[in-house]
Amino acid sequence: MNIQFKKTISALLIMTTMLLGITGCGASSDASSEVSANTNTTASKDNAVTEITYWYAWTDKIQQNNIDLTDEFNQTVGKEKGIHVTAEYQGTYDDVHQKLQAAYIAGEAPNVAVMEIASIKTFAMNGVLEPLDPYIKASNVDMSDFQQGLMQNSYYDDVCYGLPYLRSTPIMYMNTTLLKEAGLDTSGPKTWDELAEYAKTVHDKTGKYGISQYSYIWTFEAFMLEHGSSILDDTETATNINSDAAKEIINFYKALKADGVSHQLSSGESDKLKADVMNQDTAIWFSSTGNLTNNLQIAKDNEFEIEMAFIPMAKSYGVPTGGCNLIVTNSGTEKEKQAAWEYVNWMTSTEQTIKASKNTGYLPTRTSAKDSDAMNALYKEIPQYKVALDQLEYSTGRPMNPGYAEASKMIVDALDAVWINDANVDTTLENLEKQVNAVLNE
Amino acid sequence: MANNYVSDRRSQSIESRALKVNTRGETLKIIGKKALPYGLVAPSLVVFIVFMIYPMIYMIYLSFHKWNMLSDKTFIGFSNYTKLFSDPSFLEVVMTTVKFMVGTVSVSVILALILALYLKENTAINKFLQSVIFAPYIVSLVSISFIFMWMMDSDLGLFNYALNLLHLPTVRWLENPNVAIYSLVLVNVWKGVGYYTLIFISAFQSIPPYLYEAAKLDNASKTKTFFKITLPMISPTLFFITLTGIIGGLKVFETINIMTAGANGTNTLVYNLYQYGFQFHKIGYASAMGVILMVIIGILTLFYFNTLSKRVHYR
Repeated sequence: MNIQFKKTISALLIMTTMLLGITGCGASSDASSEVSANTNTTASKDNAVTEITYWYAWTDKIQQNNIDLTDEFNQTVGKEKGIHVTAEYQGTYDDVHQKLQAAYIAGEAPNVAVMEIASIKTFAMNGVLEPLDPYIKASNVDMSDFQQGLMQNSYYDDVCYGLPYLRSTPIMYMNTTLLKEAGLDTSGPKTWDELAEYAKTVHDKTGKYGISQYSYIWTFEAFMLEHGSSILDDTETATNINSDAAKEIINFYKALKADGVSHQLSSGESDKLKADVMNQDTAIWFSSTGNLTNNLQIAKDNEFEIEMAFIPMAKSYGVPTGGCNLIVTNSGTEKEKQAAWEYVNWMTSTEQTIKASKNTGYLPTRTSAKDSDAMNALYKEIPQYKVALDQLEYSTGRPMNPGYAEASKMIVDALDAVWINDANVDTTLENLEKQVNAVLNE
Repeated sequence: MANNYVSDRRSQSIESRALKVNTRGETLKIIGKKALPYGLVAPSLVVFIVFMIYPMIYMIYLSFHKWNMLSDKTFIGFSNYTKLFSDPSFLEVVMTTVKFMVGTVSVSVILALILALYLKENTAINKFLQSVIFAPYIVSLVSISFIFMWMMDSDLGLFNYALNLLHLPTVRWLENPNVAIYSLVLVNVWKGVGYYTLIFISAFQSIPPYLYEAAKLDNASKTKTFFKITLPMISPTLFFITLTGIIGGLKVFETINIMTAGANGTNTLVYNLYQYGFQFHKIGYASAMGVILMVIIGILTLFYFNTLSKRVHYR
């Protein structure tokens, strides 16, 4: 008996020493990282170079734009002011947000990051973001130069947390080759009645789909605005989804789908919309203005023509904005934060706004950029750019309620149910309203 | 009792001897001898504790809190659990998971048994067929999911093209909420069945041939031989495969993430958990789901070991 007891004791002792060893290791490595951080700052003091990190999303043209601009900053203003920025790719917006959360807890957050506009509030209210107002004041940034439709998502509790960077709105794209074939005016439908008319005519004359779309929260937000409503009410504590406006929209596409005029795809099938566009199987689709360059390329490669027009109005024009703002996290030292601000300020200045817009097709976020000679030359070359910009006049922000991510999922699921699987519209929306309101008020 | 007595006596004698000798070197030697095994397992034990036990305990701890990873953790007792159980969509998720698990395990095991019976002789052609059938298992599930996604496409897919050729009605494989989950079952069965088959084949081959010879002498029918000899003899394998299949089925993620993103009635426990934890930032709620999944798997495992394992014929 005794020896067994001793055995257990010794085993326990060994295990505790082991555990102590682990925690010891943890502590010592912490200490060493602190030391290295200290040496870093002292080193940067000596060399007067502040190292900061910037996290961005998306590959392709957007990635190239981020790399090019950052390189330029490092070689010009950065060199002058002793700042070096390392730009790091992180995936989609969701990936950036997820990694930012984890990194923030671990104390490894980057100094600057892109942030999808609807998420600003979630991060701001939890103290991750550095309020920018003092910096804006100190640097004398003319805030009225930013397009006002893009600014709503920059603020939480009247404090500014981000500056508009790569921004877009949904817009209507048209395959005008198909419209001509159907004998339609290529300026496109202006109202929802005309939209139905256009779609039906295309289907009758060419056998192609009039409209192709998948259940997508962003375009649905636009449809609600075009019907004089909005997806959430002004307080963002209740949804307008169980309303006549929403039913009108849903039934509009339901009827078109029943006649084979509209190709309604489920939320997971955004790729099929691309296929429809490429194969010229659809005359009209709704997509981000940020896809303009890409769509023009597709049209060129497949030998058809593309025009853009405002999303038709039912009661009034209105589109949500989208894309990302640049934010500064509050995790760095004062010096790093100041450096981060210098970078953000440079990236969102008129000159860089023009470059970013030309590189990617995103909207110029500043009035001065919009009116610049460089942009005007671009409008002449590609007139479609101008349409996107004009529509911006009718734009609003996106809902910022932290529960909206979950609510969006519920809404999209419901759209799938009614559009793809023919669920009853009234009961689906009734249930949806209850669920969404519960999530918004959590 | 007798055993206890013996060990008691033995330990006493060892102790008295230790007391008698009691030189420093001896004691150290004894401690060293006792510590050695613990020292040897320590590395894996440490990894196990840090990466398995600690996260598990932390998950249980988090499930009683409201937390979005950035805010302070608020203790809310069992609220996450009561909310989960009163949420009809969560019960739906559980049912979907069960459908997926039962579908995958039953079809895979039965199909693998049939294939194994067919392929068990070690002929050249069978060896070739065995490797063919095993091939999907070594391909990444992500690639498989993408390929099947295209084949199951309702407009451009190979499956519906074939159905069209045969003048059969087409199926909306991944969009129809009554069908989608079974389409995913199909993908997972296709991937896993080769592995199961191979394990069954090796189990078949380890059955001593004299049992079959005896059955033959007794003029036993083929069905009878299968149920009275083959099945009982491979039951440990069957037991193992079913258990791992069930656990794997409950934890399915990749296929769903890629092929349907949880839409059209294919939202399963782990995918739902991922969404709540990392997209909706409800870590506490997601942890509660994790705890429930852990409990379900735990109960199933215990049930399996306690009831079904008794019927397993271990040699």
